[in-house]
Parts: sequence; structure tokens; C-alpha cells
Amino acid sequence: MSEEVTRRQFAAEVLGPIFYAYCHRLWLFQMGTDSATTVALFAARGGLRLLALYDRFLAIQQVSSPVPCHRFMISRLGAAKGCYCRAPETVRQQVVRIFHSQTIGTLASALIPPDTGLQTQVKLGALPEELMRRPVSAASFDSLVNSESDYGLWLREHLEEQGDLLRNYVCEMAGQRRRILFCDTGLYGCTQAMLAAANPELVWTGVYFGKTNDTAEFALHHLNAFGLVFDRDRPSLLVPATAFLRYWHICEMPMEPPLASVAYYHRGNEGQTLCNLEAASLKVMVEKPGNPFFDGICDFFDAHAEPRPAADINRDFRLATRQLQRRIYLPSRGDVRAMTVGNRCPDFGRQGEVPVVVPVSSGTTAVRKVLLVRDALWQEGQTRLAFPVFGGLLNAVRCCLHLAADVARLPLAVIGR
Amino acid sequence: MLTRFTESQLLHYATGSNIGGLSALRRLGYEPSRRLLTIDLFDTLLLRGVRPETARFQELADRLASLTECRAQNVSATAILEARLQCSKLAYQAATPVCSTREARIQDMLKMQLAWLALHPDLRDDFLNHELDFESARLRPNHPLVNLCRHLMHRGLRVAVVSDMYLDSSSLRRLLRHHGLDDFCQTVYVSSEFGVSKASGHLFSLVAEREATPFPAIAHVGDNFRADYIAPRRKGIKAVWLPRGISWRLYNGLWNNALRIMHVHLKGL
Repeated sequence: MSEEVTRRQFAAEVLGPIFYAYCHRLWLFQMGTDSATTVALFAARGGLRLLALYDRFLAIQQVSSPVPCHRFMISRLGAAKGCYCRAPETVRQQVVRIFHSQTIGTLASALIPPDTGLQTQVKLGALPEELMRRPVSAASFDSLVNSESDYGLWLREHLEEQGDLLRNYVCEMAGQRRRILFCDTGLYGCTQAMLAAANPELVWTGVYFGKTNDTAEFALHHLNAFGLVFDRDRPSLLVPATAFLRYWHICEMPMEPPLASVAYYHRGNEGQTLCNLEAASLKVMVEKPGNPFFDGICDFFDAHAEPRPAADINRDFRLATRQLQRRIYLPSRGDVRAMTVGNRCPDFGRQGEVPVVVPVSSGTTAVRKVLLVRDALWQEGQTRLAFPVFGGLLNAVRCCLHLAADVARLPLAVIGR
Repeated sequence: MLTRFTESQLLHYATGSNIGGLSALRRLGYEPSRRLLTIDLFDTLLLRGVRPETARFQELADRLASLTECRAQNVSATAILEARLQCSKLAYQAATPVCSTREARIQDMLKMQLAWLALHPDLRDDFLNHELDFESARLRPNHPLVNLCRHLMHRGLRVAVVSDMYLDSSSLRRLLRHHGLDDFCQTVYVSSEFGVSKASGHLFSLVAEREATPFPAIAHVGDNFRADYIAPRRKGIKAVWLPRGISWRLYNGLWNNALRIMHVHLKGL
């Protein structure tokens, strides 16, 4: 059986019921809102596929969406640029968090719209070398924005222009409605935080597939952000759906259509706000077959022509999350093959790709293998690949340690409650 | 010294005794500057049995499953319970935030629950009536507190019931009347109707404004340490904490946690 088929089957069996349950919960959630004043905006790129699945769900269940749903062309980069002028504090905070341990040079090039060619070189070259090498911090970020170089002048103009455009775009999307349900895959709610700070006249509620606050620090937007499949700050073996936190890309990758990220906005011929993505072919691109994981999820949806009782949806969800948990924490080599997603890009305008797991040859040293496991985006999968004989045992030991830690935290959770 | 000790909150907490709290409330009510007494409803004015919320939902689900419509559609008690637990959580999340807090309404919960169960929305009133009958049967008045409040009302103190609850004020009035507490029905403030809670302190501000009474002229009594003691004191309201007994809290808390692990966490709701 080819890897494509295995992956598609895995997605249909395991991911399909989980995404179906998400759609069901989203529908119930929307029902609890004031439909006259609420609109659901599905954020690019992951949200676009969530919307496509939600539409399928509504058709299968023969129900309508309680609130209007729209595609919302946004990204963390687009939000940071568009919100800076109105909410500099929040944007600075988020940018520093995203670019933690990276240099101003990386940030400066990420802020430049793609496809600007030679212009890019000129603008970047205009920045002092010393500033380019500084790590990203609140102070160095301010230095970049306030720089008197050509780049600094361009950046300030660009941020101002993007601020006006994004504001118009948000107004176009919201219309007369004052409450926005910001729907996306997750995870931290950074885009929502920036949008909410820059548009405080609107009530922003994040309705994510999964939500976590890995920093464990308080931020205002966490009060208005919810994960419908899991909502926890750290993975717990006692809550099977939090297994996604050990391998988040198994959720994110299937939801990513073959589209570039939103990098900037511009004014259309009729005065409307457009982004750098082609709008005409968007729907086709979003639902384009070719991603075995997304295709598998669609297979699960398509296999159900009749409305499904909620009890069945939840039962399938329970079984699927337990199955996923087992496969993420204790994968067989077959599981690793079926669940390895393609290379991941770091996003926010940054270049380069990172593999989820790296194939290991017989000549790889033990030290190198350990380093590969440490840096892998899916550590359990990498362990299984790096140590063909003892990988399963190592994962089992790791799993027991996690379980012991979860159980040890239980009394604290009860007291906290 | 002995009086101070018997009235101390620490003693209340340890013993769950109402005696110290009631005498503190009497003293506050006698103060000439006092104009309004606000009282928490559940587990203060009306006392619940030891069954925790999840267990009550379970019992209610058994009762609802015997409705003709549920039987006709083959809706089980387990499904009704699952729907209630899931929809309650979602209703709190989906409620429009006011001053950064969200308060769910029973109407929204029932609407979602009926949609979950694929039952007709017209059943909402039936479900609500059953729930109120069920609640009524499991409540009893806190007679020592009721008597004291009546005595203070007789002396000219106004009384308002203030509750953090998803039920609406007419439902709360129905519960009060059922237990012969008609004289407490005149002024009822409930978080679900205003979107703000006691726990956040905003409901106390709203009560003070609507009753045209400054905070220092208000006394509040309730069982929840955070919502009924800490939050009003932060506003400058004199508060008396009247907790349930320690054994009740322990038993109720453990039972509820066990049921929540079984029905919510293990089912991933």
C-alpha cells in the first residue's frame, strides 16, 4: 500500500471523527451566541479549510449556520503589520514572542512583502549591521521601527498603510455586527490578541480547534479564546485530545491549503481591501485534492450522507482521540509512516523548511540520534525512527513518566478548581 | 475575645456553623446606616441536599428521558446528561462577555441541548418546568437565616436576593414561592439577566446603582468565599460568609469531581 493511501486511511479513521466533532461543537457554540450581532470569520489559512469542512457538516446534518460565516484573509504577519499603529504594545509583545532567540535581520526581512526583488536588498542593506545582528527584544524591535534608515522610513509608511487597509477590511467583514467569532485551528491566539487590541470596539472571541497558553503568562485575550477539541496549557495523558500538543502539525498540516500566507493588503479597483492571495481561485485552492490527510478527513465526511446523532459524534470522537493518543505517544513504525506530514515552514514571512521527523541511516551516531530526537517536531515519531530496536521501549518509558507527572498534578488541579 | 473568636471566618470554615455568621449579620443589620441587605440564594437562603450539580443533572436526565417525546425519539438519559454537560460548558463560553465575564442563560443552554438531542425547540418550556420542579423538590429554606432576615425586614431593612445563576429571575421567584418565601421575591438580581456576576463584583455595582444605595449602606450574606465575601468586601460592602458545613463541602466536592472526571474528562466533552 502506498504511503499516500496509508495516510489517507489514517486521516479518515482518526482525524475525520475529530474534525466532525469540532464542527458539531462549533455549530452548538454559534447557537449560544446572539445571532443578530455575531459573525464568524474563518482565518486564513487553516480556517479556510475548517470553513469548507463546516459547510460539509451543515449539509450532512441538514441544518443551517446560526450566524453568517465568512473567509477572513489574515495571518500573524498581516495582523502584526495592520495592528501596529493602533496597538503597538500588543504587537511588540507578540513579535518578540514569535521571534524569540532570532535576530532583527530575520525579522526585518520577514516584514518585507514577498516578490519585491531588488528593492528588498536595498532596503535591508540600509540597516546598520549591528542592529541586524541584535536578538529580537522589545528594545531592538523599537529600534528597527524607529530607525532613520531608508528601511525604517519605508517600514513606518508600510505599517501605517497596512493599518488603514486592515481596519477597512475588518469593517467590511463585520458590517453592523459587533461580535466576531474568530475561527482557526489554534493555538495560542496571537492573531486574535493583536486584532482585539487594535479593534477594541468589536468583541473578539477565539473559537479554535485547539487552544493552549504554553507561556503560562496571563494575556487578556485568553479570557475570550476557547479550544473546542482541547483547551489546556500542557498535554495530559488523562485528556486524550491534548495528544495534539505533542504533535500539533498533525492538525495544522491537513488544514493548510496550498496557498502562500497573507503578507500584505492593497486596495482593489472598487475600493475594497484585497490581500496578496488571488481571490478568484481561492475556493478551488482550499478544497483542492492532493493533501492525503485533508482528503482522508473529507472521505470521513462524505461517507455520511445522513444526519448523525450527537451521541454518535461524541462516541466516535472519544474512540478517535484515544486512538490518536496511542499513535502519537506510542507509535509503531507503520504509524510513523502514516502520520509523518511534509516539511513545515516557520511562517510569519520567514524562509526555510523544517522536517517533522528525519530519516536515519545506519551510519548515524547515537549522539546525533539523540539530538535529532531533541529537536524533532514529533519526538516520539523520531525516537521510533532513530532507534528501531529500543524506540518502542523508550517511548513507553517516556509515556510512563508523563503519566506519573499527570497523576502527580491531579491533587493540585482539584485544589485549584 | 470569645465573641470575636466565635464570629471569626476561620471558625465558620472549620465547623460550617451558622451561629457566628448569623450574629454578625444581626449586628450589621441593626446598624443605623444599613439600608439594604443582599442575600445569596442557593446554599444560603435555600439549602440544597448533598447531591452535587452533576449528580442532580444525572437524576434530572433520568426524569426527562421518561417524557413522551424523548421516549418516542429513543432519547436515553445518558444522552440527555451528555448534552446538558456539553451544552452548559459551551453556553458559558458562547455568552457575550460583559466587563470580561460571561454568564450563561438557561434559555441558551436548553436551545443547544434540544438541538444536540435533535428534539423540537418547543420542548424548551417542558424541560425548564421539569428542571424547576426538580430543583424545588431538592431545596429547603435555611430557617434561622430566613427568620433573621424577616426580623430585619420588619425593622425597616430592604432585602434583595442576588444570585450567580443561569436561571432567570422569574424561575428564582418560582423557587422562592414554592418554599413560602414570597416576601423575598420583590427584588431579585441574577447574573444571567445582566451578564455580570457577583464573583467579578460587577453585579454588586449594578445592585447598588439600581437600588440607589451606596456600598457602605449594604450588607451581603452568602456561602461562596470568593463571590459572597471577597468580591463585596472589595467594593466596600460589609459581607458575612455563611458557608455550608465542612463535611458537606468535602463530600459534595469529591462526589462532583468524581462524576466530572467520569462524564466530562474521560468523554472529552
